[in-house]
Amino acid sequence: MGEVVLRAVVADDSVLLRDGIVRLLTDSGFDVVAAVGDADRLLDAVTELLPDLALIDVRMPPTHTDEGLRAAIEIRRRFPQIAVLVLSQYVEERYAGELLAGNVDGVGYLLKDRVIDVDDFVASLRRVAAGGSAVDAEVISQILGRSRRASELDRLTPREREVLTCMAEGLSNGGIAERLVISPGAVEKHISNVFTKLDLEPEDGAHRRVLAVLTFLRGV
Amino acid sequence: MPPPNGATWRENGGVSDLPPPPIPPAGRPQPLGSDIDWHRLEAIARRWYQPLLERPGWMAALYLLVGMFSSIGFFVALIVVGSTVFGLCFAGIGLLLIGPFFRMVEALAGAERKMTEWVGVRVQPRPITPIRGLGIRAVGDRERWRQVGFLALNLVVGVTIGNVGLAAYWLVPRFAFDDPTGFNVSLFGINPVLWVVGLAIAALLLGAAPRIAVFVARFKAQVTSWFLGPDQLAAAELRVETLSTQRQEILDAVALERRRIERNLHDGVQQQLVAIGLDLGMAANHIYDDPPRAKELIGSAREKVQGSIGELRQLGRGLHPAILEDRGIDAALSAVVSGSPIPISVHVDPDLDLPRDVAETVYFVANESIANVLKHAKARVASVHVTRVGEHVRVTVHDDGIGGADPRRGSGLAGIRARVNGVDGVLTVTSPVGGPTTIVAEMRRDG
Repeated sequence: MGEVVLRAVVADDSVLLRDGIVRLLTDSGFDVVAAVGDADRLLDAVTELLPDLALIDVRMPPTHTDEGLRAAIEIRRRFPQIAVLVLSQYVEERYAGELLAGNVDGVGYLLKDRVIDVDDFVASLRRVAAGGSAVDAEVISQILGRSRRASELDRLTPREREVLTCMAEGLSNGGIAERLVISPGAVEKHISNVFTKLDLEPEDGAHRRVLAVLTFLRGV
Repeated sequence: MPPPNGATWRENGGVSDLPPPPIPPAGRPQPLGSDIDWHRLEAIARRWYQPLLERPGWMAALYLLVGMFSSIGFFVALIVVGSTVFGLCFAGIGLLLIGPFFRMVEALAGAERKMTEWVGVRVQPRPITPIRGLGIRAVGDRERWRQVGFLALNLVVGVTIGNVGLAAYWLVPRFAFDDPTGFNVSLFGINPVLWVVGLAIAALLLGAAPRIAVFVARFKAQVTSWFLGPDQLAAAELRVETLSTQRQEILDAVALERRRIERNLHDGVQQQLVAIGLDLGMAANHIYDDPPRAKELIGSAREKVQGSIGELRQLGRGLHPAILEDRGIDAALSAVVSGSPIPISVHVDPDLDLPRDVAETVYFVANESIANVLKHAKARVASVHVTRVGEHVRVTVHDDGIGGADPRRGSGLAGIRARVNGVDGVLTVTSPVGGPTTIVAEMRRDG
């Protein structure tokens, strides 16, 4: 793992969970420079400390609706270099859409429960901090389920669908190989099949692929 | 605590509460050795004169008195303004004043209608087409003329009924000061015995006066109600309107409630479960390289499990407490306050006899109010009273906290209000900044 210690800000109004996440991050070699309970203090902390990464809960006081999401979008706008990972109690595709609109570099949107799978979660964090993206599998399956490109998707084999999902989540080739327990060569073959079948321009780099795949799935 | 502003006419009883056969206090002390029971006599006298000191009697007298002047004043206004306006109509510019004239009539009739509340009769306004633009159309509106007719008739009704209702008050000093006719005719001069009779009549009348006033004032309010209150069809329409508002309020209450449950689940239990999972996940990572740390993490997870169970229990109790059905409100509320960090006394009338839905509403109101007290009031003590008031049940939650509770803000009070309105009840919140706070909910016992 990277030698550089990443500086993180954590925003979550549940003290229990915030403490847990801080402990996890510290354990995993992050430097948690601030842990706050609402969006205003999050923005203050980010402005002042300019961390590498902000980990944000969607629902925070005062209204407990989408304060965190709006703060995340604000941070993206003002400090594009800061990676943002938004955690949500439940998946809202629209939230994901707002957050991932345009540029998905250094953005993540995950279900809160993902923190339980500690290693995976930390990997997603590092990926986002390194400028990649992390889109929750749940979001992808919602998008897949509602995609207007259903007929084209039907041309994919089950394995190719899995690879497509992994790509949309933001995994790199290596990550996909690890997740699906197949060889890197096989991953490459599947990816090129997917791109051919869906008439997509082949893209280098995992995060550009995410955008291409998401745009395709939304079926504009 | 000030009386709630809601309709409380049921509390004003008294007319039907007929006194025992009055025995006027004897003028002279009885000779020693008589077997008159003075205590009993005193009790009877006290009972006879009691209404003099009570609110209904005074309010009735005030209503009649003010009503006499207002009926004259309103009539004069009606005639002067009315004749001017319609006179000017021939000159044209009067047409502009028709709207204001009928507005004035509506306001005056409205004032008379409102006054009936002094004697506990609440008269709903009749549905009426509002005045638009110049208001010329009002000329053809029967409802408008009904109000004019009322103001005209009220001159007779107000003065006559007022005089009748207050006559007893006026006659008391006449009889007492030995001049019942007002023409300097002394009863004593005619016959001393007659003078004693006159005194006795004064004594009798003094107690009777407030009773007569209450009775007559009710009658007057009833007359006003016949004129200005809705007739049967209109009353039914009004009822439908009220019911649909209530229906909306119930739906709102349900929505609020669901939102609260959702929030409690997502922000409470779900967060805790995630935190537990996180602890366990980290424990799993450390189980070989750092067993003490793993053990510590597992311990922390176990504590959180305990917290979640408590929270779920709380949530379930808020939804529907099983104990309410098994053991009744008293037991259910006692269970609620038993876990409270501050002392909260619970008093529940034993003979409430509530149907299930009313009991649930009572419980909901009390439970939510207590939750509010614990969450916001910073109180040292609090109390819950559930009392039977005639056909109604009253829930009173009082605390000595910081006050400033506002039903328009915060979903807790709004939820209570919606729920109370939903059963046709009245919620009164008295909560000055600095405290104390009293929440009173009243609803019908038969739901």
